Amino acid sequence: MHHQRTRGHTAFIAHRISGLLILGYLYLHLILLSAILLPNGTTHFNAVAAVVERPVFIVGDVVLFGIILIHGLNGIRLVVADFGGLIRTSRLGIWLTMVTVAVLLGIGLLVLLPDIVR
Amino acid sequence: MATEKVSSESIQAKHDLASSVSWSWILQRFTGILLLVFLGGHLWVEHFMNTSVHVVTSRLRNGIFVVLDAGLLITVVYHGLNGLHGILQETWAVARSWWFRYLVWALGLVTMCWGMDILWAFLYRRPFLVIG
Amino acid sequence: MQVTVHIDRASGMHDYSLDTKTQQTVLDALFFIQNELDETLAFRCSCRVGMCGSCGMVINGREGLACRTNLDRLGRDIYLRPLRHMRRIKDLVVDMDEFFTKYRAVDPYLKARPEVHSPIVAPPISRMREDIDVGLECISCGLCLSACDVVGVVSEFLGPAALNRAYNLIADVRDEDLDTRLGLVGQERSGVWQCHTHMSCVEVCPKNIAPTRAIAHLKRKLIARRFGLHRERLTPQQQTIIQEGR
Repeated sequence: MHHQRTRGHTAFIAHRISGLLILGYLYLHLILLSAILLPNGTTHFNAVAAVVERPVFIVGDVVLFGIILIHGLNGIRLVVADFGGLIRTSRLGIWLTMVTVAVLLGIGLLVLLPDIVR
Repeated sequence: MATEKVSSESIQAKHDLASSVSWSWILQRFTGILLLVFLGGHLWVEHFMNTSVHVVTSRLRNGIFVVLDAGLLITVVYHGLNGLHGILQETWAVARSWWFRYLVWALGLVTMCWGMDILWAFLYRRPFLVIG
Repeated sequence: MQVTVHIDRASGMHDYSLDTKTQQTVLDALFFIQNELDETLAFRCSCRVGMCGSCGMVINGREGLACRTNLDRLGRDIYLRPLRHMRRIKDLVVDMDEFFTKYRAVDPYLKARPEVHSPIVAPPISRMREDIDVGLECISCGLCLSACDVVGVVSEFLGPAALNRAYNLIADVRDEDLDTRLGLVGQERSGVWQCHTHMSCVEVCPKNIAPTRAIAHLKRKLIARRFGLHRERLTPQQQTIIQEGR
């Protein structure tokens, strides 16, 4: 048995991976928006909108929302720790973060469900 | 696993109070908190408001939405690239060279200009620079 | 209970089967192995009651003191490894130099202000006392340094124990070396900004110290100083304490 990761280290790995994924998505987002702009001032906006409103893309949106929630809420936990909170109670902190991610992701899923199952 | 040896002299070699605050650390927290507002707003607006091109364009003419999107762009680019720079600095000696931060800044500024150009295109129906 | 102890020794993994009684510790098992099964096994210990900090090792993947870790909850397979981030001397014995070099680097002793003459009485309920009390218990066992994943990546990082010690002295009103100390802990590669707040050190500390808390305090103190938000002078109460000792 090798060294066992602490919860805080696992949270850190999740934080890094989600952060890198969001940065990657930022560039994807900019590329997609650039692609629909045409030099003569018109856009492919509506054509592209029809594509990205397909259920598979909406599922992708839910996944992205989850990744953003993990990064954002864990980030809040870390800022709280910088002010001295949730350090001795780090288990509670990580547990609270996971529950909040789950609840908000559930709400997001409910809101987007009509767009997925049409 | 044995790590590289450090001596107390090398740790104590240079330290002055003026440079003992990490701006990138502070700004990473600051932009992180701002992003909760900007990104939360962005996701809300893009989902719960009508997203046809005319509505997006006319909505952007309202100052608050431009501030929201421009603010999001600036903070997300700083936060993302500063985070990436931090990861690289930890694991890659080249990223610790003095010039590397300018490279990251250059990439950041280019990305911000690119994003602003897209925003401009939505505002005035044509890109300010000709990209895309 | 019949258990197998797997020990990561200098010559590779060695397995020892033994019969344990309840309430025995990992250290008891190590003594049994050394006395009855293999006299060449090397490990370090001294007080056997969690005071000296000599018997730190990685037990089933987590840092702990052998003398304070009960065998009952470890299962039938027990894996023992030497502490991480330090050079192995033999078997479970590591060179603690890495730990003490970093500890020494923060000048871990009081540099008294000239006006401090008599021993100072800090009342147990005072704020001054509360700030420092929890951090004073360190037995320098090195578990936190071994658990710290940042040390594995950034070798210059001072690590939890040294920064916790530095914080205690920075929070101590009798100490005159505040600026130098803050400058030292605020350095880019070795100082507090490298901490990733994994809180692994807090989890493994056998004395329930929270070095992450000390590091968070130091970060706030450095920022407050940079922006001129700190209190420049001591409060009249603190001044009295320093001059009169109470």
